[in-house]
Amino acid sequence: MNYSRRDILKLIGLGTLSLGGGVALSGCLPTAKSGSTPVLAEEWRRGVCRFCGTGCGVMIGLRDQKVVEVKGDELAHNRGMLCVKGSLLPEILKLPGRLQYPMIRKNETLERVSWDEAMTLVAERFEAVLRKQGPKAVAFYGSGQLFTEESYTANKLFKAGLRSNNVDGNPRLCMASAAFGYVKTFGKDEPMGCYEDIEHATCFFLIGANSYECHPVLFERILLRRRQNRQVKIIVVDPRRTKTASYADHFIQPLPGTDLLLLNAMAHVMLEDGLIDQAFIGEHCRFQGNDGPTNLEGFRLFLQDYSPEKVAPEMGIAPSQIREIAYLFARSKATMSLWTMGLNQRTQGVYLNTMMNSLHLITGQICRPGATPLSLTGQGNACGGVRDTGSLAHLLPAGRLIKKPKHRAEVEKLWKLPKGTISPEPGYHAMELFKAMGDGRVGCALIMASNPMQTLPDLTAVRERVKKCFTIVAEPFEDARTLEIADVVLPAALWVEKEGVYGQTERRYQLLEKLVDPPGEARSDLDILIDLAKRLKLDRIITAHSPEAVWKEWIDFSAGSKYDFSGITRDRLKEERGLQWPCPTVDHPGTKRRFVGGDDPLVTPGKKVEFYGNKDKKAVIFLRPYHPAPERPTKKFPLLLTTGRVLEQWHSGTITDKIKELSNASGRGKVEINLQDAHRYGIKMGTRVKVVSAFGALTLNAVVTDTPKAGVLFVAFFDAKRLINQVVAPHYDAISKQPEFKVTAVRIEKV
Amino acid sequence: MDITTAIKIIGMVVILIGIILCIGVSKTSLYSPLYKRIAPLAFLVVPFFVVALGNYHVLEGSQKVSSCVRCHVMAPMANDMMDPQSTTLAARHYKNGWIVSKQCFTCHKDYGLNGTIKAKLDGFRHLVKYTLRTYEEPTRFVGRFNNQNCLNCHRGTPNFEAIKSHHTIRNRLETSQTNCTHCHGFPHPTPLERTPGTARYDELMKGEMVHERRRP
Amino acid sequence: MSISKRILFLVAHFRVSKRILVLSAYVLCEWFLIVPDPLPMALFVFVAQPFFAFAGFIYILEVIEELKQRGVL
Repeated sequence: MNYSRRDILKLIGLGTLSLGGGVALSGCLPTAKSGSTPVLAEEWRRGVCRFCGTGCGVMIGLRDQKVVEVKGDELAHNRGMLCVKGSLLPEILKLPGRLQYPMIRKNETLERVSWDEAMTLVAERFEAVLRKQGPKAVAFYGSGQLFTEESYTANKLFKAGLRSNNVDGNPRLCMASAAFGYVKTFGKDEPMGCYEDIEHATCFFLIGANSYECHPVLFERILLRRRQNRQVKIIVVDPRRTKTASYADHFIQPLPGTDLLLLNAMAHVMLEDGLIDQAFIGEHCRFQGNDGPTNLEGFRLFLQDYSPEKVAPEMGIAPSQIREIAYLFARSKATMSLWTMGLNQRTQGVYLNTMMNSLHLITGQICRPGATPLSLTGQGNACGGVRDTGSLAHLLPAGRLIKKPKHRAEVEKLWKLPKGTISPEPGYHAMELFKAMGDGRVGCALIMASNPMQTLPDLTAVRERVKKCFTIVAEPFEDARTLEIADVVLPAALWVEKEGVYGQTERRYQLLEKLVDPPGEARSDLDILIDLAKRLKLDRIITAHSPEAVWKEWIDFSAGSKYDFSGITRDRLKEERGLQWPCPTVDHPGTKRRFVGGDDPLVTPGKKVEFYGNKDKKAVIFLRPYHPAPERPTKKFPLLLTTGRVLEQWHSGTITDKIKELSNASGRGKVEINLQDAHRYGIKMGTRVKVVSAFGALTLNAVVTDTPKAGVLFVAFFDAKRLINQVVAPHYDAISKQPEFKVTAVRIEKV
Repeated sequence: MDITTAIKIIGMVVILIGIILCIGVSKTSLYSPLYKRIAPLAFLVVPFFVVALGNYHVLEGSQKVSSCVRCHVMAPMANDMMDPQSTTLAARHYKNGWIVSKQCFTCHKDYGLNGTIKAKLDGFRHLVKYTLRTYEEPTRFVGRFNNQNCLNCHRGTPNFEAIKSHHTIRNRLETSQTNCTHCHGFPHPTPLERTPGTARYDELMKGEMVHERRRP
Repeated sequence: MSISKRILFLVAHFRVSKRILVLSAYVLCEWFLIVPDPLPMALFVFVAQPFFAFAGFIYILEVIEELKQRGVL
């Protein structure tokens, strides 16, 4: 350090100042308030982020009845962290292009009408179709972005009121396979683990998940865990060298569509090398083959075909890699696997999910802190809103199935319906629904908070077909692609313009309160549903008319079920930072780890672990044979296209793509191509190329990179102006009906 | 010897002189010529220097980590920072030696001599609250997180510039509208961990007394 | 009676000694310089500094009064 004359002067000056200042201050201190720092917001309220399934708690800063800023909620599970999308939440309410009033399509153009006129028309059309074609001809297509109250009401309105089981939604495209996986293995849906397990895990197995970009807050938490302890290993399995993979200790890069081989080969190694937990299997598991029950020997026999040496060539990886990660997975103190669309959006999605669960079961890496199979969710309320309320075509609320007469009877009793009200036949799942809308089987459909005309596969065909159906779309933004097929457009409220409950990945319900008024005449989706119910004279079914009343009805409904959250009252939600179910009483703190004695109130007292979802209280290990994906590289289509997401965009980009900070960062119109492929086809950075499949084509700019494996192309699906789903094949999982967005055979042509 | 220690020692000497002068004043008659010579020194000149040096000591001497932890509410922050197991931003900066000395001050630049008047006033307010015990634990940060404290070092580094969204939200970052901590984790233990009565709180309070770390 | 005289009168009445003020302030400052704990820091900022200021103020008043008496001012 050195003195300068300025320093000395400053020193003397400050000394003198503080002599006076000190005296003055001692007098005026009581009035010096803590809020003296210049803060933009006048008032801070709690809320939940609008975007992904992580469900981060946010503090929302208000000024003059406007949301002016957000920050992470330090007391919520995300401990004050947000991602770049969440940080820009205040922008979403200021975005241009919000729908302000209802519109009806007259002579090919949408014209402004009053709410009354629009709703009268909607009710008339519903009634007409019901009269003419019966209940099977009306449908609801919902979303994992609707509040729980809204999904529950829609589900009840259609299944109980209109007696139509055609209630499905975009979670079908997103996590149906995960839901089926959990149900098949454990008897009940929803993960048993929680985010806190990240702090206990010593091995992370990320497969088909690009968490760095899609769940940044969780991925940062994983990285924090590893920073704390370098013994913690991260294994990433992905056909692309994603940003997530760049942090991996072990990175496996198989060809798209082959990873059931990997999981089976891992099981093979575990059995061969004695890495399994016999005691756990004996006590808590049973085996199920495709043709009847079997045992560990049967499993061993089945896995003989899946030795790493046999399967590795087809996957394009080395056998030693499989052995390495199988050992790490089985022998780490606590292994946590995380996956998303890479396993779910697959024709073998359910097989992959059950196999993922099975790997945890055979190694006993389950129901301990840090050891858990956790399927990450893409939408904020797909778990709580759609899976729990049973707003899918084959489900009834709280884990019940339409197929089972007992379940139907239970629901009819709870909803106080005459026996036999609920139709015994499951409705159309999303893929079938949009076919039915095209061929006249469905004459009238209500679409809410979802953008199927961008997100469905084989879009060109679908878009042409569905124009015949009378479609009502409730949506906040006027440029959503689905509005192109709408006959009636209803302006919907967004985020904090309405009140409701979000349920995220770890079974945590969180309340989002209404803080501002929606623009123009926009209404909450719940109001629209209640209005529709009134006009269809179904008020006796839809009796709860406020979010609070619906929530009360729903928690009372859940009481006694395996989903019991009757303890999660509205008042508690207002007080606490979300609660995890099962939570059967108002004084229960919520359940961090399900099926674990001492934590989960539904486990028989005295038991350490109990998979009470199945009747015999055992989890099922399935023998799942690998079938190659229907789309394979051929002479005509030698490459495989896989679609996905980027950090700065969320879902179909209807919201995020309008925020310039995000859209400028994400870029657009790009197809990622491997260096080798680029060389082979003579493609350079920025070359205009056409990606062609048997279903459609799209012109994009090539980005030559080492990210995708050789033979693989990658395109993000957020761009509403360049619909990559026109190119994607419409094959779907036979069990979950979830389409395979991840594997489409394509060729690439220079334009 | 750094300047703050020098100031400290000079201060102590000046005070001793002041005390001697003061005693001298009390020994002399009010009307003696000696009084007229000593009194202005004892009552005006020496106090002036003592106050100046003392304030310098308040503002600059307190930049050391060791002086920050003297406050019991700051102990969890410092103990956490010294904990190699911890993953808070402070702890990571510390254990990796990204900041060599004055670890608290380097990221909280506001409170030094060059900081704003507002920071000074805040400091005085905290001092009063602390001495009079009119605060509650866990203490909470009520102001706006100042990104400049991060950007001072990180701005312009390749890792920072490589992230596209850093460019697109640059304005928001510069004006602290979007906090660095949103995406990059919490700088210190969260209020939840610093709540008395919890196990984590006891752990955080137990840490050993800290010394400034220097590179050899 | 002038204001300064009144103040001095009060000071005398309450037996405020500037020597004691300044001495105690010196001691507080020394304490703070040796042990930079929050308590001595607070005492320095909120007690010692005002003491110095007050003592200096009284001294200046005394000087002014004396100068007035001598007819300099």
